[in-house]
Amino acid sequence: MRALSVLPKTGRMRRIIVCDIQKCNGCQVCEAVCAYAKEKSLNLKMSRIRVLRVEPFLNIALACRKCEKPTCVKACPRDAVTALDDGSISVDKDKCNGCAWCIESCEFGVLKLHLDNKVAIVCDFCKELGEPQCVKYCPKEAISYTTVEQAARKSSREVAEHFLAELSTSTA
Amino acid sequence: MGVETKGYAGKYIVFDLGKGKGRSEALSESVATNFIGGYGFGARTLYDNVRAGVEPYSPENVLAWWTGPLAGTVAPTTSKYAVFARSPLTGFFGFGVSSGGFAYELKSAGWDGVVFFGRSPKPVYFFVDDDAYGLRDASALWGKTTWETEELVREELGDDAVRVASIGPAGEGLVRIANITNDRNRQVGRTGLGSVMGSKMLKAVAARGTGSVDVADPEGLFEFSMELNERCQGPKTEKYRIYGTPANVLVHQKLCCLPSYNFQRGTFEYAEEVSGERMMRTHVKKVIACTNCPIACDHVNEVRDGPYKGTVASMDYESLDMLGPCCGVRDLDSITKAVNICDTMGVDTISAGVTIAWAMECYERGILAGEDVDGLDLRFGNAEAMIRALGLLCRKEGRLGRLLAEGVKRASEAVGKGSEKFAVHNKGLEWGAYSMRSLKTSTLGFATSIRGACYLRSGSYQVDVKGTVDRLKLDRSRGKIVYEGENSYAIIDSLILCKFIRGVMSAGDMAKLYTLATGFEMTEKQLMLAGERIHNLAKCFNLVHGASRKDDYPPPRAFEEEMTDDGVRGARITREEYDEALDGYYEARGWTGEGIPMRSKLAELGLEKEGEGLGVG
Amino acid sequence: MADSRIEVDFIGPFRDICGCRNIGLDVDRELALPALIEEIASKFGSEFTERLGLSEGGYDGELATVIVNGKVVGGPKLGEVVLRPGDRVVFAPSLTGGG
Repeated sequence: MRALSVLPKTGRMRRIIVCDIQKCNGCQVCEAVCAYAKEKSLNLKMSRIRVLRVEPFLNIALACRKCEKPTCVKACPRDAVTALDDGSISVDKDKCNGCAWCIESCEFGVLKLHLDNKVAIVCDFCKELGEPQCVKYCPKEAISYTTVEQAARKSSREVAEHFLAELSTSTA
Repeated sequence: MGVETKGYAGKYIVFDLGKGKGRSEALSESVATNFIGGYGFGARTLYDNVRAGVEPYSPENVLAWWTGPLAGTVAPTTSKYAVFARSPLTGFFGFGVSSGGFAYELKSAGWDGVVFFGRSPKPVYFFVDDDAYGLRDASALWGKTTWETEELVREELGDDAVRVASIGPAGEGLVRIANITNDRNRQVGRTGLGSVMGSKMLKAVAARGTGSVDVADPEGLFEFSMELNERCQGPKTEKYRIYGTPANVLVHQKLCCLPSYNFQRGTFEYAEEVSGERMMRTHVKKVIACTNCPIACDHVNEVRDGPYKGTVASMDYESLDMLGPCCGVRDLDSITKAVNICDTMGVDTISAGVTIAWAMECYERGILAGEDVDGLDLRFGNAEAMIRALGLLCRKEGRLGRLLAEGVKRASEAVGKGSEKFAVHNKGLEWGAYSMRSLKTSTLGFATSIRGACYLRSGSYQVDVKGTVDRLKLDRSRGKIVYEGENSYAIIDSLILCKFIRGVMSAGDMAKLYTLATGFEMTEKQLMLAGERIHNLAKCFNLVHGASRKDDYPPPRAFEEEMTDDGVRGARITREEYDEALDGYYEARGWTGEGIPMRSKLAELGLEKEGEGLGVG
Repeated sequence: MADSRIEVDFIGPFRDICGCRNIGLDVDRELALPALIEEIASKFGSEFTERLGLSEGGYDGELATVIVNGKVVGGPKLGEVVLRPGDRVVFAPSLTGGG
């Protein structure tokens, strides 16, 4: 029998960083805490999560999507990039040569090159810290670490509640 | 300071625009701990480098850009920078603060600031790229709006993450009320610094930084910053987050202190139509944040339909009032359009609104007519005329444009015919959205402000609107209130923090942040003393450039006309009560009756040298 | 008749809490300001008093501005104000601003 696991595996139950674009205002606090938590750096460019402002109104924070067939893994010529059981990506610092091919291959652009040691870095969901720091510290609670199914259910629930709750009764 | 520098980068760029060359200068520890950063450094730079008689548009004027010790750190609201020069509008201390992402980038590049000397012979922009810096040709950028400039610079540098602060065509054309824009919605708004940049042929300053600021206690700073972020989600900042500053419209209306029709009145019959509440429903598309700000106060409008459909502009209370009720305009679409023009062409919304409102009053009184106003029907409330006048102002086109581009003081002096009586400014800087006669402590703060009519140096309106004092009467004790506010705000402008965080931070918290970042011990008392020192140094600069007691008064409208709004009927300021309050302010400051710092006060602050030659008592 | 009423205006968040811009209270005698607040809270919910920052010592001037007949009531002075028919009260957010 498969062992029970709290951390969902790959597939539709995988958990990723989801950013609600209705709430995200581009403040970059997630970048600040990520850079500090993971790299002890105060430069936002050292963050694994990436904030984008598309003028005039769109703001979003993007991180690793735990793709089913990760292009970054395929692209690496040195097998330095691997996918773990939960779908997250691991980069072997010793094998990585900083060629950045994995970074180029990612359709979401969520891998980066470490500014100092030039190895590829990617969101690892703060496993060693217990919870993603961006989720913990986003001032507007725009970021969640959730399954895509849960994110979708939330949207469904909100729209159903908003429009239909009053109608769904047996009596008038 | 050496390699051990914490918080501060420990160095800044000194650049000669004429020679196209610069050097790195070390920041001295004594300057750092005595003047903190931002405003303090700017005061030091201007005082040390801009002698009496230096023309603001000459190469001898200095243009200094300063951040503070907290920029580039995780401390909230600290991505702030300030720009300094002798103001072409006032002739005195010119200065403004802006936010967005620019300061974070400049500090991450490893610089506390950049001080520009001289003038470039041709259009250039300055690029700071970590430890490299230099000029690049801006001939393709000249004539472009601030928003276009940001895009083009990013394209040219092949980096859409580069931060850009630029002037628009107004600054290029030496429109005296021109400003500097960065990150689209953020401005170094007041005192005409955009035109100083234009006079130096400096189109923009761009920055890219990949370094990390070093702080003394990283863990401590991180934890305290996260605690502050948490505080910023509480009730004390709600007013900024939800409705934003436009919520002020109806509050001012109820207090009869909403400047309308060029400050003739304190109420506007269409206040509901231009209220923050209305704006939230019909115009606000998104509320966005500056870099590393947990509050997020920037309410960005989008016009939904009509002739200005699609126009986007960041709306704040004062821009709204000055280009709305102050000009008699009741239409949020038009106000949004006007702010967009100002932000893209690079002109200060407050100065523009007040100057146009003055012209409207001239027109209604028959002082200006026909060709004087290029055929515009410049009556109060004519939104289209206001927008056309604004366009002329930004390009210095037409007789009206050339007149208005000079700001209200010079425009009224050029026109004469008694129009100076209703030119609402102090020291040449146009008054803000706080009625003069029904908020008297506010007025004392505005008129004594170092840079001219502005409350950002003291926040003295607060006691008026909290009912702590009788807002319709002035007395000697108000001086101390302004004095304390100024010292406190001088620190906020030097650390540099956003004033919207002041409700959740005490002076002790600020001192703590300073120590966590820099490692220098700093008590609340030392910090407030530094604030007083900075203010006095800026005052010394003004005195060197000819300021005296007569420059610390509100304009004639405050004294000579009575308000007619119900609730404040008859309100005006008497010379006696104002003189009394001004005396009280000078006394609290330790200055003579003429507003000159006394020797003993300067000695207390370590500014004896600056006192020499000032004729101090 | 207007003179037998106390007019109450709501601005900003108070409009959201009370769902209206204005109410009129018919009164035939004096009413202490704290009592008026209690009555409004009983009508529209305790969020009203929370938003005022109501406490033993008055209300929080950092959060809200209470205006009676055009005069601002200082935070600690709430308990001293007695309203009469014909009075006008405004509940507004505190003034914001860059400073």
